[in-house]
Amino acid sequence: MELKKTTFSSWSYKKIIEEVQKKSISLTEIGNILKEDSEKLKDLNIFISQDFDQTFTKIPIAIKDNFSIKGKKTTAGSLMLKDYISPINSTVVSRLSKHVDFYGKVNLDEFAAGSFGVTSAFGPTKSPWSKGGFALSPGGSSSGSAAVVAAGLSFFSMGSDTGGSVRLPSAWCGLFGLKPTYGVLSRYGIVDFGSSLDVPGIMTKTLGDCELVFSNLIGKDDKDLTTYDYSPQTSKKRVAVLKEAYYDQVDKSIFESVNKLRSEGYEILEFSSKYLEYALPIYYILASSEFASNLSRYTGVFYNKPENPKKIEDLYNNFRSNYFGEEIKRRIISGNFTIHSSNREGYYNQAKKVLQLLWEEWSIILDKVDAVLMPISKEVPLFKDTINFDPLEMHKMDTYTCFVNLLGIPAMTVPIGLFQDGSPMSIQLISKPMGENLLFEVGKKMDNGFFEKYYGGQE
Amino acid sequence: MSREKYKMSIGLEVHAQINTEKLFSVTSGDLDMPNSNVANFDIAIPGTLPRMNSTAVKKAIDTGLLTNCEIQNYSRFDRKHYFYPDLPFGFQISQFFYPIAKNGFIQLDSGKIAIERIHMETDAGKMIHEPEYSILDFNRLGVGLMEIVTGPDIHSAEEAKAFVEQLILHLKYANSCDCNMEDGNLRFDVNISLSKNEKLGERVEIKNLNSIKFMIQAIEIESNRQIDILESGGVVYQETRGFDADRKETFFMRSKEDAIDYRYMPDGNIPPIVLKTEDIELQRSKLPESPNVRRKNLLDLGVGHEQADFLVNRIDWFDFFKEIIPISKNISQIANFITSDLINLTGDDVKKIRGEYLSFISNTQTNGDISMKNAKFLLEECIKTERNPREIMEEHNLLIIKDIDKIKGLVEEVLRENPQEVLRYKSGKTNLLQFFLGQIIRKTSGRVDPDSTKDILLSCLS
Repeated sequence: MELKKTTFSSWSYKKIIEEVQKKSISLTEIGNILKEDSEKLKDLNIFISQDFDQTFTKIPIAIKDNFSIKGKKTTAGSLMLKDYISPINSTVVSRLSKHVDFYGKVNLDEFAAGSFGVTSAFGPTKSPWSKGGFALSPGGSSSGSAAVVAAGLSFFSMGSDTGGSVRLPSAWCGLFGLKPTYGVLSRYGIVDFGSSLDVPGIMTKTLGDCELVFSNLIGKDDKDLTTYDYSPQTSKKRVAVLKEAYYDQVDKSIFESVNKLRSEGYEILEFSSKYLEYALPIYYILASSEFASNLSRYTGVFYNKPENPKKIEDLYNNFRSNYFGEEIKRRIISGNFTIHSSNREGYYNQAKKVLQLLWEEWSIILDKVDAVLMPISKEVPLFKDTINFDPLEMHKMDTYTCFVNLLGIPAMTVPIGLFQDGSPMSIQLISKPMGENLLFEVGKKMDNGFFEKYYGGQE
Repeated sequence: MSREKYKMSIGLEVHAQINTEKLFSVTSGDLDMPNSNVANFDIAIPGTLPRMNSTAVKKAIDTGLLTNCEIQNYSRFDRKHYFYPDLPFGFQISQFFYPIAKNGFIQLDSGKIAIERIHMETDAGKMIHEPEYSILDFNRLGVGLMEIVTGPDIHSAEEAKAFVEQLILHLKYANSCDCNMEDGNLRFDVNISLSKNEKLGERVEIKNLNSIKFMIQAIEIESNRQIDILESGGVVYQETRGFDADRKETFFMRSKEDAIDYRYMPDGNIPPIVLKTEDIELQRSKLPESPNVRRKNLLDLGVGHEQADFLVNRIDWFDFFKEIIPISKNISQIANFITSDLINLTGDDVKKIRGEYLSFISNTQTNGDISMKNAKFLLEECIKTERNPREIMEEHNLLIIKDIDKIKGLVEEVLRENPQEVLRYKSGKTNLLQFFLGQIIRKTSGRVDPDSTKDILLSCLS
């Protein structure tokens, strides 16, 4: 295992805030270092755009390129939006602007649809982590956000999570990754994927940073009808583990964490889920349907430059054929299939019915505990092995993450150590709606010093 | 006559523009300047999300309540997908699965017309085709529409017209649509089927008729087309047709098989509208009565049929009328004054007369304190000068003379001035009585009561 280190690898967001307050480092210096260090790690292909011409008045950070920043390019990793300049600020950007400046927009799977960070029209991103001299996959779709934080090029970053897009890359890059309760953080200004599943997510090296950024972002947003105010949940000093064994090594870590929590006074429950195995098909039906719908807006009438259309169909057929990537087309076709009137009952409506069963099953256990501990993924694949991916194998990466989006509940990646092959290993904590405070509490108890050990930092 | 063998069944889909801001966005542009009244959300800027215009929802609820619908405790917005340049999202937001209102009706003289559903949806933009290119104007895009769907209960073009007129009245009572057809506030889709028996025939839909006149023409022309087909042994197919107003014909647009699959799906950005029954009832209590109830109430107040019809159809004059009922003595006279005098005197502008003035004039006349002639004079003056009728009355000395001695004096004066006529009267020309009376009325500018004055005249002449 090897992690490419840069100047700020060992600095948490909280630490840089302190140092800036103490004036031991200036914002200009930070900017210069970030510029230099990101130049050194150019081959990771983390950035879609950078802006070091501005005078920083706050700590500079980088953000996933599907968050709109007014007057800036927002490509969503797609050829379709290659030159698109957004007229709006996303609410996440507006709220963060009180604390940080944005110097970079980072790579992602095209329209946030992917698990390896390789479907971007701007080329794939590599993880700063490597194994035997080969770069690892950063995970997707928030590939750039994970890589930029792990590489010490941003003190935290924002991703978006529709089926695991924050948690998976956080796990593969050794970060804390929070997927909040649906509606607790505003979606306004994030390029739409699945309207009932999308949430902005927070990616940090420390749990404290995650908590801090979360507190800066909560609060109902009038621009997003699905948001509401956050109210913390009461701890029951109880956690649950799933009876079903998944991956040997992760299970061992979960066992160790459970012991730690027991010694902290937590009661441990065992829980078995009958419906979890249906989550992935439900997810791909519902998410692809919403995806297909939301991407209907991208036509030659409004985006990019149509090449002299002969007839109106050209503005649709040719244009969408030319500017969407393969994975996007796959999801649009399957999404439109499942909401077609002849299939809706058998697919879309059936998925909603099974989702109801999944919800009923999980709401019982979530009500009893502060968090459920479960794995996210197996060993991290090598970057080179993900380039020519099998779509179905890629979709399976969402197996243990997508049900969280379907249920609208919060979850967090907690980096816990390394697999035997040396790639980062994480545990996923899952809680009830608005149980973020419980995730932070349990996460703190479980934390075994990943940041100190692998980033050389100090919390 | 073969035509009479057929029973025509018509169902209407009326698209009524809700007279408020856009349904899901806030705009403040100039409607006359193309593409100035457009929000980022309207043109589907990535990441923009809808807001909810609760006034529009309230107006749709009011419309449902006034048309006797059941307002639904749960309604929801869905996406209706199709590609067209006037639709930037690639879908229209429409309440397909769960409409806001269901199962209502409007009562016509000819029968009950069922309102199957009322749902809200967004309007598309406007596309103007030139030979070489097309122009898009998004000012109208995203404006809220109510789609009002009737049962196949209408059986003639005249009945369709009567229905639409009644519907317009209901929309005005709900204050939910301005109903200006020139502005495209109301548009109609007509479903027509013909049958020789009670079973409905194959249904043909004629889309996008933008006036009552065109709707009637389209119904007549299309029903004739179908009868001609049926009479010549042909078959009418379920299809969608357009109406060419210049050529006075309907034309084929698409068959049932060509129909687009709209791939309806709930809109995840818009929470469902959940209404408590008590809130719906509270809303009902704030609404005016329906036109039919209003007519009945007016007749019960003693208002004449013609005047009642006028007031039912004219909300502005009704509101004016209603406000002065409590302070007026002669309700039917007030209604008469409005319909026979005020419309002309004010140029049909209710704001040109104050209710209390009309009430004062009517009450004074009803009390016998001024003559009808002077009452009308007062009305005219007080509209013209915008002055208090009491002042005008005093200034012009219009009060009826009630002092018997004074009238007696006036009678004697007139008789003195006309000795010839007195002689002729006494020699049997009794119809000169009217002449004397006329003289007295003229002398007093009508300020005497003709009946009592006549009595005094008679006694003086005998």
